[in-house]
Amino acid sequence: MTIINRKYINPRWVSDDRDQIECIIRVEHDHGGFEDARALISDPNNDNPDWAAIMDQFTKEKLDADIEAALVEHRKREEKHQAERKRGDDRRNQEGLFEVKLEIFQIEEIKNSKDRASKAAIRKAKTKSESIIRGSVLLMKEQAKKVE
Amino acid sequence: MNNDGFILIATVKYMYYESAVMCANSILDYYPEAKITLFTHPEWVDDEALDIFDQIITKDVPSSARAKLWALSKSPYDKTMYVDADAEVMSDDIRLAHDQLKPTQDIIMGLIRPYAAVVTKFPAGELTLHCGMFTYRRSELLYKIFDKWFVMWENQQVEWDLDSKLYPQNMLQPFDIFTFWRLMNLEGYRDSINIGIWEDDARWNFHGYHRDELNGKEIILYHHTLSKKGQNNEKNIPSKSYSNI
Repeated sequence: MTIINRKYINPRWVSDDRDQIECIIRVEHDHGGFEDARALISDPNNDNPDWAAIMDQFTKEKLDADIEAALVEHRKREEKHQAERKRGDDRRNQEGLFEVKLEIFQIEEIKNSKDRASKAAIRKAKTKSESIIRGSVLLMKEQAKKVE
Repeated sequence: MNNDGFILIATVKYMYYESAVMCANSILDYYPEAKITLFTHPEWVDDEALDIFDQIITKDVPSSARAKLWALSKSPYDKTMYVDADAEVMSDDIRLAHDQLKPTQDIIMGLIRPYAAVVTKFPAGELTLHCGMFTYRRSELLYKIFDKWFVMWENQQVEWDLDSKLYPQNMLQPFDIFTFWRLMNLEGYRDSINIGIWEDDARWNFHGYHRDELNGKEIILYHHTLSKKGQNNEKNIPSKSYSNI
């Protein structure tokens, strides 16, 4: 079995200093078969033939351009993911806030209160804490009225 | 004096009644002169509702999860904004709810955002119009379409008379949005009525959308989702099929 060819598949920078490349090295044999191996390639002493071959076949400029494009894609995906996460959090917060307000208005004293301004303040609360505090204030007011 | 108003519908789950009261109060917080009619079950009506609603209609209101479709043609108003009961008003601009309907338009609706929707595309088409909030004018044809919408939706729940390859039953059956699509596109009503789209429609029916769709403006109506909650309330009234009325 003789090696007849050595191919470098999808080489890309994997270090910030761009002194290390990851790729698949495909070794093709004379019987028609081949073997693939994932390789990390560097060239600290300027004597690595794989490094030289990749630079020759792909060029540093092409590797730079590929990694820049990959980074742009990654940032886009990350931004989309973040925006989706933010939207989900926002929605859950709003749903939770609405449910808390519904619960507050199930309290008889609050439900039956004629204090429209205080009830509107509960409805307009922007956070759960704000709605609960405003609800508690109205509840205390209504309970104080009963005592009088 | 104009005869414009809002209608809310609360049936089957008592939670929708509580939410409709909250929704109506939120309209009145920003638009105190607003006229609002509630369609609901007589057992649920309480003093607070009598205080805030312009009218409460309980006669013949079906115990259906889509009683809204039955109620649309019974609106007492010339221009009506229908709002899902699980919505909340957040801006004074709710006062413009009826003015956005141009004289040439029969109904104005919002657009579905595929990123925030359960279903949009199916093999034979795409659902694009959101049916959770819209403003419409009194019209014989539109009211006929609304009444058909209710009957067709009820029928859709018990039988599927469409090719499931083009209209997948398991994907589309529960949705009144699909029934509306069917009325417009398969029953031929699309060219008979003039449907407009809200200007800044995300503000008018904010349904878990990305905030940047608001273009820096405030939300007018936030549409929550209570559909999976309130199953076990003892005040709930079982849903019945009304496909034969």
